[in-house]
Amino acid sequence: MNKKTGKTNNRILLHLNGIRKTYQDGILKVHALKDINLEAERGELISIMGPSGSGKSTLLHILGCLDHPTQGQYYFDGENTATFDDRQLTLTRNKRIGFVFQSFNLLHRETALENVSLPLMYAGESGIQSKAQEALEKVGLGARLNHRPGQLSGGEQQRVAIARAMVKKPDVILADEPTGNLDSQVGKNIMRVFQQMHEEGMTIILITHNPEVAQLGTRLLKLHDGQLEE
Amino acid sequence: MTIMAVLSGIKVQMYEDLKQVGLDVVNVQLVPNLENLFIGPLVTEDTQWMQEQSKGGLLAPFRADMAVGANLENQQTLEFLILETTHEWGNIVPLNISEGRFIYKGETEFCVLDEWIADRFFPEGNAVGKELFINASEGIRNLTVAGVLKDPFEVRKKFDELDFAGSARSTLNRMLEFKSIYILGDFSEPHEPIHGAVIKVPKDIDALSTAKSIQKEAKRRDLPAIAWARSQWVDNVMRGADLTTQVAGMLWIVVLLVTSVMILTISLVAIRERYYELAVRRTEGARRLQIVSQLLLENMILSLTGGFLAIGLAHGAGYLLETRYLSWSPAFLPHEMALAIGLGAGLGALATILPAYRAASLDPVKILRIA
Repeated sequence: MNKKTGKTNNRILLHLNGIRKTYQDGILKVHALKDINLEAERGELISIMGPSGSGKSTLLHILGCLDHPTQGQYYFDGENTATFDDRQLTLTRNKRIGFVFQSFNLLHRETALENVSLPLMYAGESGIQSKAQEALEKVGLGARLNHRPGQLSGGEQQRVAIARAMVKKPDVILADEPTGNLDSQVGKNIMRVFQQMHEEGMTIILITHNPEVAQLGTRLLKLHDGQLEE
Repeated sequence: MTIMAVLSGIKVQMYEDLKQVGLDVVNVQLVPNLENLFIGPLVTEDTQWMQEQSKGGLLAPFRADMAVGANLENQQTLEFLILETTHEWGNIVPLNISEGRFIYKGETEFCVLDEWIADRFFPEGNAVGKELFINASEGIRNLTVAGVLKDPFEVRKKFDELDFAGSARSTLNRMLEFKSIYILGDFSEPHEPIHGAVIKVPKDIDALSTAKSIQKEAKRRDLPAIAWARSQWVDNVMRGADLTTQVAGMLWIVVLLVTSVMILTISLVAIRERYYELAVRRTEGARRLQIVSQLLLENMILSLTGGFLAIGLAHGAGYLLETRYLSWSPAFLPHEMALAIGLGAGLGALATILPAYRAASLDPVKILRIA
């Protein structure tokens, strides 16, 4: 990477350079991330493991442009995200990053199809319904388009969340404990979906504390007390 | 909204009713004070000068007395005001005759009843030609009914049903409420004892200026007279009605302000309940403006639906009031309804913008972490 311009070669999608994140908790300063350096190439499936409180989610939020680092630079496809205003951050989240959360984060009043349509709607795309339907069919939920989250099992809800993340064909999918709320068999099924996406060339950052899930990554990183180890 | 419509309706109906008392009529009361407007002491007075002041208007003197009447057929007795006048009364005061006619000249054995009295003496109807016994200060008289005068005051018809004979109403109210019997009196001499006169001013003469000139002449003659144009009285009543409507309007604004505070609180709570949903939307790429617009649009739809529903309910309540309790139609004025809907939508928008902007500015990560 060119340190002056921050430009990376085209293979590097995400680049974290000396990232620190500090929270103020009353009079205490909590150092959630300490000097994180990371480069993620396109098409990689990176697993990040770590115990609770190690800073996994904080790292994922910074990678997802949901949070700002206290110190350091984060380059997304060669662009320093510190220079992004709220509109650019929102656009990046909307079009280039897909999120899969442990608790699914689906809208309970909307159907599976409407949940998956959400990012397309905010992106102002055309053919929303057919694209959303296609994404749901891809994760095996073609028969559950009009079901609401409450009418779906945990595994099915996570599939809806995956469909929502991939429907906009993002550059990267960030998954925060995607199997954390699922039993082992359903979790395996979900991981097969991630593997399939990876085989199709999708860049995936997978955060987990489950070693079995972490083994699926092309690269395994460990986060301990806010520090990243290969 | 219903209350405003009822008040607007009463104003419209009152004006229609009041117009019927004769806007070109001047009343002259020869009384020392307003308390004894109709049955104060009689004054022997020539009415010639009053007629001259009205520049040739039509004049009918009158005497009023309290009397008791009876219909021997159904043993019904009533207390009422008996008004002695001339046959010209029928040409001066606009009469809304529901049955028969007014008394002709020389028909001293005939009488005309106000509808209220006719309904009680002859509940089966057809009062014309029937007989009544009247006991006034001049003694007992046997009179034949020539006609029945319809009560012009639609506004109080339903309230009137609550009234009963012998209620402690003032004599003035009795007169104004059309609970009288009209008979012909003897006013043949130039100076007769009278209580006053009614004068219909000629078409090209202003009733108000006529009343003033009669009042001025009475003062010059040192007479305890009160002269008033009925149009002036109508204006005063309408001004009073306007004032009532304005007071109600102010109360309505206070209610609206209180309601808007309630809407703001409800809106705050409702949006707070949706923080999780809004955080998910923000994560998925919704901009702040899109979040604010969505909440505003939702609230506008709710406010407008509520507004139209309220208008429908207000119409329903107005219909119920009209059929059960009121004698006039509540007036749902288009500009008042538009104002109500506009204010509702405006307040809804105001109550949404701040909480919506606050919700859109929250950190979605924090919200999702708490959720």
